[in-house]
Formats: sequence, C-alpha cells, structure tokens
Amino acid sequence: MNQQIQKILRITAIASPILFLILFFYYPVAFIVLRGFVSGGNFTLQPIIESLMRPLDQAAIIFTFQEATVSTIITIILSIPGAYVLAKYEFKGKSLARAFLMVPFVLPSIVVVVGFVRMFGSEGYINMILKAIFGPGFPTFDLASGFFGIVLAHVFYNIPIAILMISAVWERINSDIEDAAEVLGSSGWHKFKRIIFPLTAPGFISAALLIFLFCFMSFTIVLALGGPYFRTIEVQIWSSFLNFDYDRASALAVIQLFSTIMVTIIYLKTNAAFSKRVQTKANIIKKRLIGPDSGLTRKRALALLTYVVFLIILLTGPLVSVFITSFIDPYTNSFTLQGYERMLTWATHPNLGIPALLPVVNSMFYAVVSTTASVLIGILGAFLTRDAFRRISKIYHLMILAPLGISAITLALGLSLVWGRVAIFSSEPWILIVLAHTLIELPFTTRAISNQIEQMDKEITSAAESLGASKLETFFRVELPIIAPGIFVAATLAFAMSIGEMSATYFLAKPQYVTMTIVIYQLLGARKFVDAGALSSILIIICIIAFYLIEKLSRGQFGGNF
Amino acid sequence: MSDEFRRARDSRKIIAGVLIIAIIAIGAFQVINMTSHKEPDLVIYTYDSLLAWGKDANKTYDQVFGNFERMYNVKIEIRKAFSDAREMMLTAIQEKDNPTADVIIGVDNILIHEALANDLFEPYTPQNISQIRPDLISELDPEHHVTPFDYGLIALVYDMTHLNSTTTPNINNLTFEDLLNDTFANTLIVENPTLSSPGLSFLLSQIAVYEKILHKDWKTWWQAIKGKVRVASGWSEAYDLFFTPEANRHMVVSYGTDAAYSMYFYNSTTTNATLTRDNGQPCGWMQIEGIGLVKNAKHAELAKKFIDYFLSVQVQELIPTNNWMYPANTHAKLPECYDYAIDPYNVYQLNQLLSYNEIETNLSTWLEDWQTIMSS
Repeated sequence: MNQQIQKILRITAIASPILFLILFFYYPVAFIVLRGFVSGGNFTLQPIIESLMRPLDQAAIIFTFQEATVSTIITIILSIPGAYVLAKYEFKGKSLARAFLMVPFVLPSIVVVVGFVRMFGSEGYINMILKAIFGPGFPTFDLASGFFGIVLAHVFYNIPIAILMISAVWERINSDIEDAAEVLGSSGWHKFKRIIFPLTAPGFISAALLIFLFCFMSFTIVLALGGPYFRTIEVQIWSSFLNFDYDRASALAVIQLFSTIMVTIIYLKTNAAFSKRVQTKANIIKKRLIGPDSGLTRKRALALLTYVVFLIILLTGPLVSVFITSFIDPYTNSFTLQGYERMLTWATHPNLGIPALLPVVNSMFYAVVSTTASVLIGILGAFLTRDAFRRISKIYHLMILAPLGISAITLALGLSLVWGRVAIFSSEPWILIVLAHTLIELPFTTRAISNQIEQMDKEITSAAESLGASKLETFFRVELPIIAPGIFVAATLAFAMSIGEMSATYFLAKPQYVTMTIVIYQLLGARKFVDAGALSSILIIICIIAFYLIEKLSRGQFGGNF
Repeated sequence: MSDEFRRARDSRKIIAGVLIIAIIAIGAFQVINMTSHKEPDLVIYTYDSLLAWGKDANKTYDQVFGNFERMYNVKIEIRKAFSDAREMMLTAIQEKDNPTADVIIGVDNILIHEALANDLFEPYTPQNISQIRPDLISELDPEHHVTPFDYGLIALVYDMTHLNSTTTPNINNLTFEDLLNDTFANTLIVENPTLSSPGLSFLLSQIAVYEKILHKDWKTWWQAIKGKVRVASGWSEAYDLFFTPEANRHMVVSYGTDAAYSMYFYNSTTTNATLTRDNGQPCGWMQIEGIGLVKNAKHAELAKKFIDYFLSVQVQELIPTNNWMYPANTHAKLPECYDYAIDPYNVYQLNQLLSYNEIETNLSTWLEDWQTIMSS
C-alpha cells in the first residue's frame, strides 16, 4: 500500500480512540462535573463544601466507604481458600470450576437483586425451607436487606473475581523461590513473613482495590436492597438528578470522582510494584488434589468440602431462585408458565405499556453494537503501545480507565445534556445509549486486549516485517490472530456489561428504547415477581448463549486474563 | 495454545463479518422499532394502578380509552410504566422542552406545586366545569392548569382478622402517638414519601398533626418508628405486601374507600379503614387528583376533547369501583358499597392546617429531613 496512505491511516487509527474519548466521555462528564465548582457564575468550592456538610450527603459518603470496605475485606477473606486451591492444585473439572466462577460477575446486578430477594428475603426460599423444617414459629431472617444484605450481595458478586485474581497472584510466584527458601531452612511463619508476603502483598492489595472500586460504585444493589435507609453516593447522585438538583448532583459527582481517582492511583502503583517483583510466566508445579502428595488430611478435606458447599449455595442460590421464581406463582404457590407467556409476546404488557419482547430486542441490539464498537476501539487503542508514541500511549491508558470511576448516571446525563439536542442524537436517541455502553465497556476491553498484547512475543512482529510484510499486513495477518484470545475475553466482558447495564440506560431511554434490566426493575417495583423472574431467566439464557458462541469462536482459548 | 499447525484465519474476513452483523443489526432494529411504534394520535401519561382495581380492568380500560378511540377514530398511547404519580411527573418535567405526553392524569394537590413551578401545564377550562365540585377546584388549582377528577382520604387500612376490637380495643380510636406502640409500629407499612404520592400525603398529614395540633416536632415520630415500620417504595408494593402472609404486616397506609372495596369484592369487611383522632375527631388528609393538558402538547385539540370526556358523567361513574376514589363530578352516582367508605366531607380535613405557601416553602426541606432521619 502507498506509504502516504499508510501513514495517514496509522495516524487516524491512533487518534480516533483518543478523539472518541474526549468527545463523548471527557467533554460531557466535565460539563456535569464543572457545575460542581460553579455557584452564581463564579468558580468556588461552595457546592462541594455544602454537600460535605449536608447530613444526608454525609451519611451517603460515610456509608459508601463503610460498605465498600467491609464488602472488600469479607470478600477477600472468603476467597483465599478457593484461590489457594486453584493456584496450587490440579483436579478434575478445574476448567469447569473456573467457568462457573465467571458467571456471577457477568450477571446483571438487577438479576442478582431478584435472586437475592427471592432466596434470602423474609418471604424467600431460605425462610420457607427453615419454616418447613422447624415449624412456622421459627423466626424469620431477612438477609436480603439493610447493611447485611448489601454486603452479602456484594460478596456474591465479587468472590468469583477475587478468587480468580488472587489465585493469579499466587500463580506468579515462582515455586523455585519457595523451594529454595525451604532448602535454605526457612519455613512456616518465617517463610511467609520474609518471602511470601513481600512478594504477594502488592498483588493482594491491587486485587482488593479493584473490588473496593466495584463496591464503591454500586448502584442497583444498594438502590433495591437499601430502601430508604442506606444509600451510596451513586444513589444520592441519581436521587438528586431525579429531583432536578443538578448542582448537588454535580458536587457529589466530584466527591465521588476524587475518591475513585485516589483509589485508582494506589491501585496502579501497587499493580506496578507487584509486576516488578514477579514474573509473568512463573514456573509453578501444581500438585494433584487427590493424591499422595497433596497434604490433604481428613480434617482439611472436610473443611474444603464445607467451603465448596458454602460457595455453591452462595453462588448458585440466587440464580436458582430466579429460575424457580419464574415458574411459581407466589399467591397460589403453584406452577405457572404465565410469566413466560406474558414476557415472550409482542402484545402490550399490562404493567409496562409496551410490547413485552421489545426490551429484549433493544438489549440485544445495544449489546451487539456496543460490543463491536468497544472491541474495535479497544484494539485500536491497545496497539498504541507499539509505534513510537510511548508517552501518548501511557496517557491514553490512564485516560481509558476513567469510566471505571465515574458514575454511570453522570455520564448518561452528561451525554444527554451535551449531545442530546444535536442533530442525529435527538432523532435517534438510541445512539446515546449505545455510546454510553461503549464507554463503560472500554476500560475492560482495552485492558483485556493490552494484557494479551503484553504477553505477545514482539520478535514475531519484527520477523514478519523483516520478511517483507507491511505494518498493516502484519497487523491483520500476524498480530490479530495471536491476540485473538484477548479479543474474545474483551467481547465477552463487553457483552456482559452492556446486557447488565441499568443506571445509565435508565436516564437515556424513552419507553420504546428500554432494556431488559430496566423492565425487570420496573416489574420488581410492581412486585410482579413471576414476570420479573421470567425475564431475568431469559436474560441469563441469552448471556449463556452469547458466551458460548464467543467461546466457540475462540475455540476454547479462554484466558484468565484481567 | 491448541494445535500447532492450525491454518491462520484471515482476520480481515472476521472483522468484515462482524461489521456486517452490526450493520444488519442496526437495520433490523430500525425496522422493528418503526413497525412496533406507530405514531399515536394522543399520548397519555398516568400511573400504573389507574382504574386497574375493578372487577375487570381490561374491560374498564376499554370502556374508558377504547370508547374514546372509537368515538373519534383515533389511537391512544397510554404510558403507565410509572409506579407512582410522582415518577410520572418527574419524567414529564424532564421532557418538557419537547413533550411526549399530551395529557397527564394523576397530578394531586401536593404534586401540583412542582408542576406549577416547572410550568408543565397549559391552563384549560373543560366544557363541563360546572359539574365539578367547586371546592375541589379551588383546593387543587383555581386557574385550571389541572382539573380535579377524583378525591379521597388517606387512611390507615387494617386486616380485621388480626386487628379488631377484641385484640386491640382502641383500633378505631388511635392517635399518631398510639401508632408508636410496638403493636402497631411492627405491623404498619408506609410508602416512601420521596417516591410515592400517598406516602407524601401521609407524611404531610403527620406533619400537620404534630406541628399544628400537638405542637411537637414532627421528626420525633419518625425517629421513634424508624426501625419498626416497613417502608415500601410505592402504593402497589405496600398494598401487595399487606396481602402477603409471610410479610406479617396487617396495617397499611392506603385509602378510606378500602372497606368499600372489601364489601364489593368479598361481600364482607375483612379490611377496614380508620383515621387517627388527635383533636378528638377523626382527621384525614384529602387527596385530590387532577387531569391536565401538557404545555406545548403535540395534539392539544384532541387532548382537550379527552379531558372533557374524562370528566363526563359516564366515565366518572366508573371511578368509584375501579379507582376506588370519589368522583369529582357531582352528577356521578355512587355505588352502594360506598356506604362503607369514609366520606371526606364527614371528617376533619387536615389539609386546612397547612397553607399552600407553607407547603410550597417547606416541601423540599421536609423531604430532605425525612430522608436524613431514615439514613442516620
């Protein structure tokens, strides 16, 4: 290809992700956030100080930190046994276990809420079972509400990711180091203090911080399970927007952003520190779990079994509850298919006022388009690590992380206020929804793909080029196929996030553009449990089919990359 | 990586394939959206339980909306995915520069403040205005931005099998402070006033009683009842909880017509409604609901015809047994079961204790304070 054209193409390719981010993320978000610094036309810290002094906002800020901290600590502690086993041992069905662990993370949070309430709530299945065993006088435990319920739901959501991340931490410790330490006389506590801890601590901390960030930004779970008693900053932002209190919403968004930036900076530092101390491909010799070598005593086996059973109940319980709810009419306790009948039809649903299948169509559409877009942009952006644009790539990779720490609601409102009246966006409102989804997915797709690129042997690229391939040819024929696993991981994550997104879409969607998650939330509010359960089940099945198709495309090359 | 000598896939083909899928998706989406959403002749916003509690909701809907469609040969689109009138109004306010709705049904005498502050409605005097009770008009909006179509009392509705004169002798003689007793506090369901209009009416009635009759700080009541009362996000959820045995709650903030409802459906009164008596007589908060023409509505002429129609006797007579409120049209007849309902004109109306300006000035502070109490 013509050298000139190639150059232009390359520059466009490199500039477009950055331009996209600036136009559709930074500008709208800055628009909203800056209002937090403006009062009466002057630049001032007044709105923020006001917010910090207001008891309701104070309560929200304090609670957000409290629940995020507690959720993170409990999640990490509970995930350690599982992570250890995953890192050090081989056993039959290990890949199945890994796949199973991915499921809760990709479940939309509204579905989690449905399952949780139906399983752990005061009118839920656990209480029903307890009463059936111990008699109707047995006290009712409401595990799905309040602080406890919120933490429990967060733990459910994050244990899988914690197990996978922490086992990855352990896996990067070269077992040669441990063996050498033992040969030289160190063991037990001394080994832990002097060898293991210094090596693994940064990895633990960075995993913990990521989970902290997820819990910090939690919206749907807190909104549904917290009632009027508990609200996170995100819920308070939502509430302020609903009441047209834009200045207050902006002030809160600034406070939230500041907090997440602090956390993200610490996360990046610890992640880098950890990467320096360990190798990417450690030489780990895994022992077989059921074998002479494993050190598995009867006591330990029993403990392990209890742990596994607990995990299975915690992780599958809500899922199973959702399916059961879709089939059982709560008033007559009888089997019914009416939920599915009402949700799988083009007829107008009595509670919603729109055709029941329309949200399904909308959700899938937004997911397909935004996944395509975010993966494409992710590829473009991830390849910024090559070429001589070292510094730009560093900045870009920091820029791309921003959507992780910004309230999705802030983004949605920014988009609608800045672009909502502009030409094509006002006549086709769904474009803004797709944009919001793409931006929310971008940090994950870019990360997944750049992780894969980091592991790619750069010599292959040089070899291809020295054999006469142009940069473009090398890109398409050599590099893309090699990073394919990362692309498929990215696609799966992106699809899952789009299908599960609720808060941003809630603000942008007119009734005919609503998604399945919004409708589930509405049905839940109207206490139409069977319909909500039916639609949630349909949503889960769509996710499973999508993941299966993506996995099929990648021919099973599913990495544990993150 | 799996097998070593796998044939390299041409990734350009894959990318092309994915892009084609995306384009087909967009095309299909547009087609589906266009066919499933034909431009209606009239768009109405209302809350989900409007006229939905009669013996045959679909039939009622047809009698009200279907009939209008046939009369004028038009298509009505009703948006009712709002669990409460408040949410509906907030959506309308968000859209007000380019309103989707032509008519909004369900703005009440508290929400009217926000509606007027946001200039949501166009004043319109219906043809049959002389048939509407005048005091309702002056209470709701003398300038006819919104015209009353029904009214009713907010009351405490309870299950007589659990709470009756044997188990709780003072059940029909309660004061607000009595409700703080565990017997009542642990069984009561209220609605969140920031999300629900009956919830907001209840809050204002409590504020009126505490501040104006008892001369006490209204916040103390909520501080005392906080952990025991159950707060539902809306009337539908509250009422559903009331009928869920496992929830074990037997008193709910609802409407004074609920005993009539019980009579109409079950020919017996298993549920009854009561009012608190803090000044020696039964006191209730009257809620007046209105229908209004949206400012800059796309179909204003047809909207006006619909408002006239909605206020006509034939539609108003469907209100008592389907919406369980009193019809605003004085010519509309009441069914027999309403002998069991609490007539708002037979009780002390708490509305008179809080002036229009007082509500206007304090509403957001009251709501903020309520939320602060509940979160602390």
